[in-house]
Amino acid sequence: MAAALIAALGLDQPEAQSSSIAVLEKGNADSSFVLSCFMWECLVGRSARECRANGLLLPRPSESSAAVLLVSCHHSAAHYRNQSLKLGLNLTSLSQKGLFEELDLTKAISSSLVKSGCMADFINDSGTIIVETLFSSIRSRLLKMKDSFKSVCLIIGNINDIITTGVSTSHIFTFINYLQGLLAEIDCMSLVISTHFTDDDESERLLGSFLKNASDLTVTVSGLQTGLSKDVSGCLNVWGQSTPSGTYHYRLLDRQVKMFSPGASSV
Amino acid sequence: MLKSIGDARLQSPFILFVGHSTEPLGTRTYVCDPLHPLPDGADRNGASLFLSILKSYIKSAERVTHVLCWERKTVKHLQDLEEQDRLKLRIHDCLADFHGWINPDNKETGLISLIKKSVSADTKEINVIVDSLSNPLFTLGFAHCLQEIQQMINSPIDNGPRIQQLMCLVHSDVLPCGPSSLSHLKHLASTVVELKNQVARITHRKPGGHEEKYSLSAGHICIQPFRIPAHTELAHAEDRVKATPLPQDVASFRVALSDKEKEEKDKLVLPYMRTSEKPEEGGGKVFYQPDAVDDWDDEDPDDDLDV
Repeated sequence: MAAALIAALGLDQPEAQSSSIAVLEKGNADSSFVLSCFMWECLVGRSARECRANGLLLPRPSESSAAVLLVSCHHSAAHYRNQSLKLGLNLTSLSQKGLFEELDLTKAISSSLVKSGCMADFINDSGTIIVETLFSSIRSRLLKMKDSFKSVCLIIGNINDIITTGVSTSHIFTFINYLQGLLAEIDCMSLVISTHFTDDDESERLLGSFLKNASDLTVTVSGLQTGLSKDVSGCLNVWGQSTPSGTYHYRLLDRQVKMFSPGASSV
Repeated sequence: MLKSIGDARLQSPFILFVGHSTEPLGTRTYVCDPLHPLPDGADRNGASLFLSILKSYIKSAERVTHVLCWERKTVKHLQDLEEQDRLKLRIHDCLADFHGWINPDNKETGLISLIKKSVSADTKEINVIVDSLSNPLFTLGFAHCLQEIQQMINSPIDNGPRIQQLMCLVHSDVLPCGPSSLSHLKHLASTVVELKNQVARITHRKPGGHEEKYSLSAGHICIQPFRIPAHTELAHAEDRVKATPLPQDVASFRVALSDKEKEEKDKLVLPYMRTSEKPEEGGGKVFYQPDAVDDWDDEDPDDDLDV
């Protein structure tokens, strides 16, 4: 399950104040499991804790008061569905109940390039994303979700991939500014943005630094510096203004993410 | 010097804070305003120190201070202050709808136009703070921002008030064109405060061209003259620390030995060490006897040290 990771980030505390979270993946690391854990936290974990605190039985996911909008720019939506299923979260059934919505940009781009007419209004004929229209689409979806649910969470996977469609860095920054502005506009909203981060690519480096400065909590996912290990999948660094900083090692199991301190993998 | 900036007493038309991003260094914190202590280990890029100075500055300033917030946490921190005294502080949330994506009527052409809209006709002088400048340098364009800064420093806003003091924070790792753009900004500034590893280095350019330098260390801010050798030593020391972290800082377990453990370690007799000349009877023993061809050095290796 994802509870160990959420606890490591300090998000299971009632006084957790991190509404804007940046997830940076370094090198060959893949941070999609962190996003799946956030989805689990929003849809199941938080409401379960609230129920336990009130001495109630565990709620069914359909009774959860938080809704999630996932914008996937690198992995397909099916990837996140499969990953979440392993954590015990059926996104297909949740989407039928309106608790979960997805915007698969990779699918939208490929559809627009294959077919003559654009499938989505935020993609032009050459396959470039129009970030202004994409923002309007995201905003209207979130506002609609907020009408029905107590809180909403926007998760954007690998935002750096939007640059590869031909969008300039300055436009991406404006897009992120507007997403940050939504946090003030929509009550009880949280924002999670992941990006790939390398020092070699100037655009990715700038985007990573920009996100780090703009967020309340930064989670960096990287591989082990010493190479591969059968006991450790990678390293996770946490830094936040209201969260204790820390370095953890993690191991991805079939249905669980195990977290431990460096050197404590065999314990 | 930093205190005089916080008290709005420093005569400097353009104060530039440069935040150098570093890894968190544990529990060291700035304590420059006892009324607004900062959380432990929070100041990784100088933003918290800037925010603390900013609060003190707004309270002390005699003129109205306009804060252009390009970071969400600044808006959150200053909202209480604005509610307390709306006459002295005006917050402009630049993240809301600066480019008119939500409502085209809200579209702004630049920083000055945003300030102009909220300044009353009888206002003669104002102070302006931008937190942080890194954001508009990208979203509005570097050249455009530079022109606006020059205009703000040198001349009054069209038919409006004069900007008495401009204070900006810029993140050194988020700049278009890299270090060269930072050089441009530093060239325009009359006072530059560089924040790195919780040490503030201040360069103040007086009207005559004379430069004064100060260095402020972590903890309670104490002003001490800035010496060039100290600067280089400090920079080297910081670089060394950054390059090679101490094992006890990165390990999740205790690396060092306690006095008792050291004593026990010294007492320990390892199995290959000869304890008596006479071999014990019964059972096999292994002794290490240096070979004749071994290059055995009897000299004390630390003999040349003056200890």
